[in-house]
Amino acid sequence: MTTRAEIMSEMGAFLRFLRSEMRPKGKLFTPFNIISLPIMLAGAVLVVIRFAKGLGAVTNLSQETPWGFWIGFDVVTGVAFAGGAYVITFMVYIMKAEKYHPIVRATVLNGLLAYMFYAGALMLDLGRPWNIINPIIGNSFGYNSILFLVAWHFMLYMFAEFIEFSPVVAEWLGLRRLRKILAGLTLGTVIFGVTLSTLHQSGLGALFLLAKSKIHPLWYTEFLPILFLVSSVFAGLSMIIFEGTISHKVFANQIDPKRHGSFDEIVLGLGKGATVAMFLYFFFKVLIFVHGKHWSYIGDPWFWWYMVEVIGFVLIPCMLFARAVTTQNVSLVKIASIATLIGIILNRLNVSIIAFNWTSANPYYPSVAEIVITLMVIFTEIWVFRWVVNRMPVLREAPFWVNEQQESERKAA
Amino acid sequence: MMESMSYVNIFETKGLEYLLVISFLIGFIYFVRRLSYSRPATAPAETPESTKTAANPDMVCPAGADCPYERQRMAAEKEDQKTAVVT
Repeated sequence: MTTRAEIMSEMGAFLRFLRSEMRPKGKLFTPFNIISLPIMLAGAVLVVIRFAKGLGAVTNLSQETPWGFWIGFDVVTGVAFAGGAYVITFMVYIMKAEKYHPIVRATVLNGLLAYMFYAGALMLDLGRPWNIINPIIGNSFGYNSILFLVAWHFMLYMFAEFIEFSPVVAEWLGLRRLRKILAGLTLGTVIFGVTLSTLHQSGLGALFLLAKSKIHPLWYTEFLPILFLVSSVFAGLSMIIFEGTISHKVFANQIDPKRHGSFDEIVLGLGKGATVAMFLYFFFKVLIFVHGKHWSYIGDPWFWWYMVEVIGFVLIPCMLFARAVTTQNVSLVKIASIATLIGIILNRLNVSIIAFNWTSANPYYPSVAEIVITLMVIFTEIWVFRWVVNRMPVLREAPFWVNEQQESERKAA
Repeated sequence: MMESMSYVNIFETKGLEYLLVISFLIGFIYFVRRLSYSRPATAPAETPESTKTAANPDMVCPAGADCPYERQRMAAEKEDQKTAVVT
C-alpha cells in the first residue's frame, strides 16, 4: 500500500527533476544568445508600452491600414511556414511513408511553437485583446465570418498539435502509462489536424477576399484560398529543410550517427514534394493571370514586381528543386528551400501589406518597434525550441522502455 | 451575299485557358516522370586493383581511404576461420 510518505517522496523527486531541468544547459555566451537577448529584452519593453499606451504608441497602423506587419508576417507568413507539420504527419501516419519518421517530432514541435507564438502574437494586434475570447464563448460573433473559422481552427489545431507532441513530454517525464494512452490518440489527432490545417490555411487566404477593392488586381483573385493552401505545402516543406539543416548542425550530438546519412535522403524527398507543389502553384498563377485578363498591366511597375515574385521566387526555385532532385544534389535543395522561403514571405507581404491599399496616398511602412517585437517573437520561439530539444527526446532516441512498450503493442495487435 | 469571315476569339471563349490546362496536364506527367528518373550525383567508385593487395585480397576499399569497418569485418572473418580450425 502506498503511504503518504512515499507519495511525498515521489513528489519531491519529481520536483527536484523539474528544477534540475530548468537550469540552463550549455554555454550562455554564444553568438546567437548575444544577438538575440538584447532584442528580446527591447521587444519585451515595447510590448509593455504597447499594452500600456495602445497600438498607436508603437505601430504605424491607422484606420486606413489596420492590419500591418504583425498580421502580414507573424500570422499569415508564420502559419504558412508551420504547414510542414500537417504535410509530414499526413505522409508518415496516413501514407505510412516511414522514411520521414525521424523528422516528425521536430516538425510537430516547430509547428506547435509557430502556432503558439505567431498566432499568439495576434493578441498584440488586437485593439482590445481581452475580446480574443469572444469567438470561443459565443459573444458577438458571426457564424459566417472567416475570422470565426480561423479563430476556432487555430485553437483546435494547437490542441491537436499538443496531443501529437505529448508522447514526447510523457517520455521526458517517464510517465509510461500516460505515454501509452497519448500515443494511441496520435492517428485520430493527425486526421483531425490535417483536416483543420487544410481549412485554415485556405481560410487565411479567404480573409483577403473581403478586400477586393484594396488589393492590387494582380494579387487579388477569388482563388486566393487555393493559392494559400497549395503554397503552404511547399512553404512548410522548405521550412523543414531549412530548420532541419540547422538543427542537424546545432544538435549534432543528439542525433544517432546512422540517422545523419538518412537525413540527406529525407531532404531530397522533401525537395521532390516541394517542386511538384510549386509546379502546380506556378500553373495556377499563370491560369489566374490569363483568366483575369491582366494583359493591361504588362509594363506597369507593379507587373515587374509581380514577375519578381512569380518567376524569381516560384519558377526558379521550382526548377532548382527539380534539378537538385534529378542530380541528387542536397546542397542545391537547401539553396532552393531558402529561395522558396523568401518567395513565400514576399507573396504573403504583397497580399497583406505591399499591394494592399496600393492606391493610398499614405502607404503603410512598419515601424522599427513593430519589427523589433516580431524579432522578439521569433527569437523567443527559437529559445523555447532549443530548450525543449535539449531536454526531451525530440531528435535523440526515445528511452528504452518506449521500444519495449511498442514491441508489446505490436505483439498484442 | 457571302457571309463575312469570323474568327473564334480565343480569349472570349476561354480557349486559351483550356489549352493551358491541357498543356499543364501533359507537362505535369513529363515533370513527375523526369523527377522519378533521378541519377546519383557520383557514380560508385570501382575498386582499383592496387588496393587488392596480396595481404588483403578481399579488401574492397578505395585507394587512399581508411576503411575501419572493412578491416574489422576482415579481422572478424579471420578470427572465425581460426576458431573453426581449432574446433
